[in-house]
Amino acid sequence: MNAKLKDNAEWGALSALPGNPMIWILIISELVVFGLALIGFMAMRFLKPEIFATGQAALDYWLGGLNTMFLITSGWCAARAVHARSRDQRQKARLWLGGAGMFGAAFLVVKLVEWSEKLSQGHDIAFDAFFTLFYLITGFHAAHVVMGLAILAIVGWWDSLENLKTGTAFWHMVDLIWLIIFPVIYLARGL
Amino acid sequence: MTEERRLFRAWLILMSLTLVSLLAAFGGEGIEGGSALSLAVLMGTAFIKTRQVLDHFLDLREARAGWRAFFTLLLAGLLLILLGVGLIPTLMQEAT
Repeated sequence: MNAKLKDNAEWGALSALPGNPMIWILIISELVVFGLALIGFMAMRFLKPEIFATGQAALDYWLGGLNTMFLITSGWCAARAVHARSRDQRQKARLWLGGAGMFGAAFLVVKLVEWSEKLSQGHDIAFDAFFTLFYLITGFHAAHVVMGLAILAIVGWWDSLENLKTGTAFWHMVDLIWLIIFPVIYLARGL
Repeated sequence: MTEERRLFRAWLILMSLTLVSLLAAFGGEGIEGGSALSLAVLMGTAFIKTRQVLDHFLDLREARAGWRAFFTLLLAGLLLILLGVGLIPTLMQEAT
């Protein structure tokens, strides 16, 4: 077993996972919750194909793609922060963490621009089934981004290696979920 | 390979696959069966991307084979269900 896993011996099967076992419980739970929401989205798309085709056509897939790249780059910065901290390079780790936060904030700015554009076109949460699910799923995810940014700030301040690993693991989970949301909501069109 | 290079390579793969998924989404338009193929490519790239994040950013590659298999099944299962539900209209059209 890798040395990173030895600290979690009392967690049973979860002790075989790297980092804090609690974060893996959260990752599995969130994957299931968002997974079910996206299955619901696809099922509604099957039941109301015209509404969903119109709704998806109204989305800007390039903004969605840009946001995907922001979160991916943010995740890379967070991973580099942990790597720097594991080598006792605290300042460097904070800089990488700052980069992760900056790209995460850029994601939220793009998301707000996108939502305000849709709202100005009259596409609010009650407009139709597509926009109800669009706002619920992307809004719930954005709430995780906000929480993740707060966590990054906290672990940047109290910057033990364990804190950094746990905080950035939450951030990678947010990234992971978006990588499934993006193709389902923005790109899966035309069927 | 150094840790920095490994993380950079994962980032590069993720960025490249995002471009592939954007191209796949619109490459299938106007081609018979193209949308179904696009959806399959989208779910396939999503699977590789999520594995990259798990293995390299979350260090799942260091976990036991059982946990790696569990996450592979969880993600593959979810993406296959999404693909299956997404393909129902096409399958129904072909059946009639």
